[in-house]
Amino acid sequence: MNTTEKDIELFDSYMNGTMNDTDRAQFEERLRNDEAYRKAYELHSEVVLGIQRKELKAMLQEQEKAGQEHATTTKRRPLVIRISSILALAACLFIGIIIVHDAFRMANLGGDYIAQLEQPVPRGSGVEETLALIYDDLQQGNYSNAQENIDKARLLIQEEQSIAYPTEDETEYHQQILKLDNDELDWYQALVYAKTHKVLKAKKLLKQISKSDSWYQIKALEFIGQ
Amino acid sequence: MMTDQQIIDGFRNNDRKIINGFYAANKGAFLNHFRNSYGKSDEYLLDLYQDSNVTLWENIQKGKLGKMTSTLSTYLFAVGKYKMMANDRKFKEMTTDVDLQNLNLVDSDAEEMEEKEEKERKIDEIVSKMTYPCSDILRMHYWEKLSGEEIAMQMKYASTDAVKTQKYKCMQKLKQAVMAVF
Repeated sequence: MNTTEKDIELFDSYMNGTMNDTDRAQFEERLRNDEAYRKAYELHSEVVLGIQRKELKAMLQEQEKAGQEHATTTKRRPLVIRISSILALAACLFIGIIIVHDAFRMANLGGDYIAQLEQPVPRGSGVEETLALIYDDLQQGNYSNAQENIDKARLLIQEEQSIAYPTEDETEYHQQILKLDNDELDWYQALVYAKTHKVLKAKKLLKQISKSDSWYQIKALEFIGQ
Repeated sequence: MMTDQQIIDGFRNNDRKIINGFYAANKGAFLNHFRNSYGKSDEYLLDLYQDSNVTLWENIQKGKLGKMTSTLSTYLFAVGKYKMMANDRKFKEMTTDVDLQNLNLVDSDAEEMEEKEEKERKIDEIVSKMTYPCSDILRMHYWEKLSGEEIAMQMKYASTDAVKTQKYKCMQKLKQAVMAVF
């Protein structure tokens, strides 16, 4: 049977389910009674399904390809992540070893400098008594007590700095003594930091001392240099 | 989460997103099930999975699913089993398989089934040889379900009548090629 444009429109309409009830009944009636027409419709629907099947297969192939590409990327990703993690871990470990090594080195050096400490010289300020206590604490390895006494001494220095002396000379003299006490205190503080593994604080303070005109400037430079 | 009915509607309308989503969602379980139960190779199973999806789509287009008594995924697995048995020429087992019977998947005898598959293969071969403009116009009309106006605009035809005429010519050409083979 030769199908016309009109037949194809009807076949498509029936396949798509867009025919109204009356037209569909008529169409189905013809399919039942007209064998040539039914065969033409069957051929049409088989070809249409073939066209659609081709597109569906292409789409699924495309999806499969995209899925495989995704799988390859995700397979590679864990390897990249694993390598990065190992490198990061190695870097952390290396830095950790350096930090720990540095902390112990500073603590040992701090111990050496504590052994070299001389008894604080009495210069006539009220701070010196506390400095003597700190000296004892350091010698006995009692660093938490030493820290407490350092904090106390700082407060005492502040108090003494506010005392007014009758003459300018006397004021200047006391200020100089307090400066020497303060330098002493900074050095003690650096040693406490070193002994208690506060590496960064110790280094910062040592650097500060090394740049000042403190009595301990050279020692601080030596400490950092070692 | 989509219902099976929404997925069926998506398949019926050739909704790329829904079909691809369903395909991706069931692939792992399907391949595992058939690999573990029947020991088939991955290459074979991938073809089986794609063919099963095509058959599912076809059965939806033909209105064969009717009232679903199982989930769409179960139906897909049953289609896979049916296709695998057909490939292995285990027709006797198919006719007695309860799952396949329950899902109305076995509706013809072995000879008919082979004939049908052979016909489909030949039609697919002819369709795949289509060239421009037929390949584009028929794809737009039957797969993408575009209107005559949309096709005319995309393919730069002067009118929808010109589209209809061209589509008719293409279909006639295809049918003649199919008839020449059978």
